[in-house]
Amino acid sequence: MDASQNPLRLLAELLSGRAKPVINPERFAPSATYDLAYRMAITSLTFRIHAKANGENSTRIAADRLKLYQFLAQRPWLVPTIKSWAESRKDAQLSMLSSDRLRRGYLGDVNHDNVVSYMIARGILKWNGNFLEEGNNSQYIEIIYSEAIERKLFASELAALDSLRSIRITNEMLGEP
Amino acid sequence: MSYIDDYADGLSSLTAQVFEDEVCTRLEHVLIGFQRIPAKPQGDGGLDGFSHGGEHGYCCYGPIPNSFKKPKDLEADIIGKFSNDLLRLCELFRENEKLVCKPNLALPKILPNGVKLKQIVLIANWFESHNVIGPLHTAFKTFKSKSKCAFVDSDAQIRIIGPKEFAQHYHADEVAILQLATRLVISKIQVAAATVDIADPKEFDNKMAVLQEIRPDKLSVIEMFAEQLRTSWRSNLAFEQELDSTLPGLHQALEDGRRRILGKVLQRMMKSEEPWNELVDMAAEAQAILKSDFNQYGSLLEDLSLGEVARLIGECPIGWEKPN
Repeated sequence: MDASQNPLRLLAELLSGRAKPVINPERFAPSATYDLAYRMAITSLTFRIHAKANGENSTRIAADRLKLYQFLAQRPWLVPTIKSWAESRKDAQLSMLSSDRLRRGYLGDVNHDNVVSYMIARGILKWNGNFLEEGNNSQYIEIIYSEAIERKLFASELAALDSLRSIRITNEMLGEP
Repeated sequence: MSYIDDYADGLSSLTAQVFEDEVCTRLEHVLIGFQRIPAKPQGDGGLDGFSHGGEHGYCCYGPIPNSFKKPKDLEADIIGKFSNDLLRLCELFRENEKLVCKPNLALPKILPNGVKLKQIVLIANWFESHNVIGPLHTAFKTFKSKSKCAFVDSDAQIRIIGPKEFAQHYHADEVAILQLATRLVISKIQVAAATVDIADPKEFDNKMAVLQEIRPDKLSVIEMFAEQLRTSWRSNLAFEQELDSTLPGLHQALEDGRRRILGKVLQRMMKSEEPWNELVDMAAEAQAILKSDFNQYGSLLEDLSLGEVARLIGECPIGWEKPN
């Protein structure tokens, strides 16, 4: 960068000898994507909203579907992309173009796999074949959902999850047999 | 999907200057002696590049397909653009429906002395209709018949190709696909940066207001550089959003890089007796850290690094107040 055009050099000149520095390292917030509590909350909300009764007094959701939906809940700006992908299913060429990057994104979300493993270890979820269903400690899911609604938390994530109800995402789109 | 299809898909999604840049970059890789022609400031004379000592010319056009309501509008636009290029190469212009000779002042300084174009390749980002072929060949034949043919051989031919033909003819391989993918990401980030919102700019704005109180003699300068920092910050956010949505592994690398940048910045500022002077090198320090994982995004790195420091100012770790 040309020194004369460096805005930080200019800032340094403006502040030098005239301002007192204030350093607040503790106020720097890391990305929520790597926050276990946040990820567990979003996974729980996704399960609560999109899991279906499995006829045995329990609810379940395909693991791939949970992975995609929680990914979208955290990234509401991708909802139009999944919508156009779903709508373009009849056009193979268009479908490939709109799905490629999204597919790569959610399939690469290995943090979600780790969060699910942790929730299984805590008994919140459990495996049933390719599905995830409620574990012995699944009350955690209901508590998170109730708190989120009552205290109006996770508004954008809940809105994204709600909008996914009207989008037909087939098993084929998830890569399931 | 084959390399050819992969590359063609990517190329068809590029438009305008980004499309031309990618085409010329690929031609430079595969054609020894390919010469790119800068359009600014003097103009390109109707050619984007030439090879074979000036006997083969190349014209590119990347319209935005979605901006046309009907395919025939897009066809007409492509025919119009390439016809204009061919007119200029033939040193003609249209006046009251007639073709009139008009010297092309740029071409004598672009093509080697005495060399005439024998083949002109017209490369578009969309070639899904045969309706563009006939009109362009007919037009070129007419232009040659009216031209003095100073720069175009009277037997010269044109060839119209689209992304797939380009990928087939110019050997798209995995390296080309990787380069194209990077270009797509950079182009997407540049577009997204113009509209991405800074979630909470209040802290940043407050700091700039305090700075204006401290330096009332520099109000316009502060406004200008604050805007520059905001722009870089938006690029940084768009980059983060793109990685977060499509390349989670790299997003983690960005997060790690940010942590290291924060550590370095705080270390420098806390131990320095002149902390503000440390700001000057911070962007360079941030760039060095990001380079290890994001070197392929070369042209973006400078903006991202500056944006990272702007983010540290906006999200609180670095601040200032008026002395008592």
